[in-house]
Amino acid sequence: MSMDRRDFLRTTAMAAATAVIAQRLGAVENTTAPHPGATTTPDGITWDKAPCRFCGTGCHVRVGVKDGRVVAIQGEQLAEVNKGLLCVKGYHVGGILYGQDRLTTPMLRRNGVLEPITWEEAIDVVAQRVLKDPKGFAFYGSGQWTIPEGYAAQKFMKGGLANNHIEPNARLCMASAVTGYLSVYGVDEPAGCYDDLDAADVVILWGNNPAEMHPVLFSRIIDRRLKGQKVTLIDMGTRRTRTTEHADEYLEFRPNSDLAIANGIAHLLLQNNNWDRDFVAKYCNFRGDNAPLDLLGKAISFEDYRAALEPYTPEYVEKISGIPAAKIRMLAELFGRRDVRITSLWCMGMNQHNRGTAINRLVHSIHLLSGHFGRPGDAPTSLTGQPSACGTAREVGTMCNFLPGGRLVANAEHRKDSEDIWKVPGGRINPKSGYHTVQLFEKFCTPTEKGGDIHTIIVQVTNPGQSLPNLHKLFLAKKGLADKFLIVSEVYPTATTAIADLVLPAALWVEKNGIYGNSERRTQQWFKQVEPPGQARPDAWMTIAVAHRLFELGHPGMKDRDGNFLFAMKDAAGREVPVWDYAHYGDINVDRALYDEYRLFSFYKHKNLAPYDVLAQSRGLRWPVVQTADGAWQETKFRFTEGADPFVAKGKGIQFYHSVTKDDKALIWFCPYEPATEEPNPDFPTWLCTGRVLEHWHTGTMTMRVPQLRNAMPNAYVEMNPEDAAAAGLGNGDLAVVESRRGKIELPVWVNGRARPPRGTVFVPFFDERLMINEVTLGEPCPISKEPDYKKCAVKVYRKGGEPILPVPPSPHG
Amino acid sequence: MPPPVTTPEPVVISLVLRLREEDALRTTTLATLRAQVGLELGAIRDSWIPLVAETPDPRELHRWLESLPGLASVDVAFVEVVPQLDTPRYATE
Repeated sequence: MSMDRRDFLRTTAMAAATAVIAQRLGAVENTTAPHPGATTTPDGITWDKAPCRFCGTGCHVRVGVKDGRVVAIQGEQLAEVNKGLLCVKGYHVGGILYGQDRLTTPMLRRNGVLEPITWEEAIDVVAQRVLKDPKGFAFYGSGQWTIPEGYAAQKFMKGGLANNHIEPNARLCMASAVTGYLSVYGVDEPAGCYDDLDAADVVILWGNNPAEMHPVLFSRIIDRRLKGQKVTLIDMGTRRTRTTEHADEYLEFRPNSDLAIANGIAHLLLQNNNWDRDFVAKYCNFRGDNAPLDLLGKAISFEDYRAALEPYTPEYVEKISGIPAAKIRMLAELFGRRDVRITSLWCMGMNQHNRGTAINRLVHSIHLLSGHFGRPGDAPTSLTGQPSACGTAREVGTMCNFLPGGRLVANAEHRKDSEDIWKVPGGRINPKSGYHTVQLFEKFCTPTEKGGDIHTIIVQVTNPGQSLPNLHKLFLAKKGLADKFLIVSEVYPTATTAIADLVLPAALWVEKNGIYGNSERRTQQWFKQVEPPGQARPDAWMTIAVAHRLFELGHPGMKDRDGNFLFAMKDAAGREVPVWDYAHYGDINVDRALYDEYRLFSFYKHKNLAPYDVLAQSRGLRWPVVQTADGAWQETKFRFTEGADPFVAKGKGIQFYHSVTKDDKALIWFCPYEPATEEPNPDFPTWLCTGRVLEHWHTGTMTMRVPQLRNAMPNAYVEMNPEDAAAAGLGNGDLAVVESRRGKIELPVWVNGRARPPRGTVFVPFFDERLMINEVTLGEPCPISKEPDYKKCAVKVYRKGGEPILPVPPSPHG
Repeated sequence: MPPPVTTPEPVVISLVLRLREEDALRTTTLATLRAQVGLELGAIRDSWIPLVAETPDPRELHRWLESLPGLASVDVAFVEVVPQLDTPRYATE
């Protein structure tokens, strides 16, 4: 690099940091100033905006491109989410495009070897697999899909093939949050937003580790403390993490006992008579479970609710959870106060839970029972791990039982709505729910003659070969089944492409146009900024191309009710553009065409999305976005609260306008504590918890390609309590076997590292494809959300060549 | 943990540092930062310092800065993206 260019880069870097500081010191930035579009600085770098490719926080960045490559990343100073800052993963979000083994050519496996083929051949292969038996074809996508990508897949499957076997990987991370919100408020996604973190007096973390997993959000809390504000942080978890270092209280609980803790708080609110009677009378009804369990349960009286909570005394909860009774009282006293604002945050600890719907309901219910809802800082909020689990998987409804915009396949009116927007014949959409993720892969990995009626899965933007639980059963078993066909669209080789029959090279992040939706309902748009390598192409194009091949072959589902191609698109002059032909894909903005149609779905549940051009000029807008009398587009920070939410009627105060009980009221649930599906016993005496690490994002397919991140965290490990390790004769770096009823792997031991599990618990991260802990995990799903539990199962841990000698942790159940 | 297997190219980064309030800590930390070769400190405003550096491993620098007792926070503002050398993905390759 020349001296001039280096100097200019350093000057730009200094300016970026200086601007952030100016903002911190009170310089008022107009965050609503329209984005000016791509701009080029004198050093020849062109800058344009995009949301970060990594987590659900949705930080906004400026991407610097020169000579067709990303050369720099800076935080977007005008973004409300991150205010010019990046987290440590942000160091490397640009580098993820440039791993040396990017996939660049379609490949078909012949005689066990992947051989290059043309795109025309590849698209035809996919089409022929659909035609083999359209009912047995499935689509597995992702919370990393852009909104247009997920929408294209959704329309293709449900509106085209009349097939509901489409699922996102968000079934594995957010489904319990969805069923929690639906069963409490009648509509998905948080009422609050990140502004709650700026107003809360108390932040309670329910089994999550935001210091490592949502660092920019966590910084907002810590930053307030540095300014002298008092923010009480209560960390409830099953092991100490980096987050614990900042907590005022660390409350360690026995796995699954969060159910009892939540009930214990509710019990005391009633006993202490400091629940919010007025709030509950105006805004809430009570609910209990049906048998068998279902989403909406049954009405119960307040007396029923009180009686159900009777056993959950602090002493009983202490016995179940291990948290001292005095601390349960402390929590209840906090919730009983009206002079503090409380935000509860959670993520996978509550969602990847065998009773995930129940625990989600219970935490929402504590907030409702105590009236800690509806004011800035009073919020129960589930965070997301993927950049568009909300925007795509949840809002586009790419699950086996949903249609876009909060509709259900089982609802005739919803099907008609969708058929009208899609202009497909009435009756096209299948009313029967498809297979959820665990079922889908179970069917795929079951021989056809034994009822395995899924013959082909196309996977886009995710890595089930590493992220599914119980991998031997749900993924690796495919290997022996010659008539099963796995199609994988990816950017790098992964554990999934390793057994794929057809591999399709995909464009990544700013190599295509895109739109994401983050954890606070913020929809964020970006334009393509660099070309993808080789023959890599956007996933939306792949779906449209397959659809058109089927159209050519006469599949009736690829026609709308007028006989036109399902994905017909026109230019500004009204001429149809053959976007399925990649040479013409860029002739129009396909993202805009898909989004404009999808946007029509968003009004039904008052999740109104902004027009595409408005998004393009913003750094994201929180829906519902409505147009004001002066023509401006106004976002919504706080839903259901009068004055903040445009759909709350005047005089209502708080209005849950999608109420399950159709009376503008939310539901306070009772759900009982239950032990975990698989608890430790003398044969498998140790709890296994799995999760992520700071350095690697999810299965590491991107971050393991970045040398600095790989150096910092080169392989998975088993994190052990030092006393347990000593008892097993294990020290740092020694090889241990972690074995469950489902499988075993060998891992190096890490003791006294950055996190501290209690005795009888081990933690293993899932980012390492050479050491796949999901060969060991249970994955027992919540019976309502169908989301598997990755956070607790029973294992034995022993020195390689040795025998397990760890003590069985005490059980409250005798 | 196994030793690093790569030597990446240096990249230009900028960080936003926040000093703690205690005078003695601030003084010591500023002296440490000024003495460190390769760090360019910008204008200090209140407790905030913009910093530019060129380093092959931003995270190592970040960790070192976080370990300084006089710094309350270290945040990232800008990162150069440099094509890395062709390197094996795993130490065993």
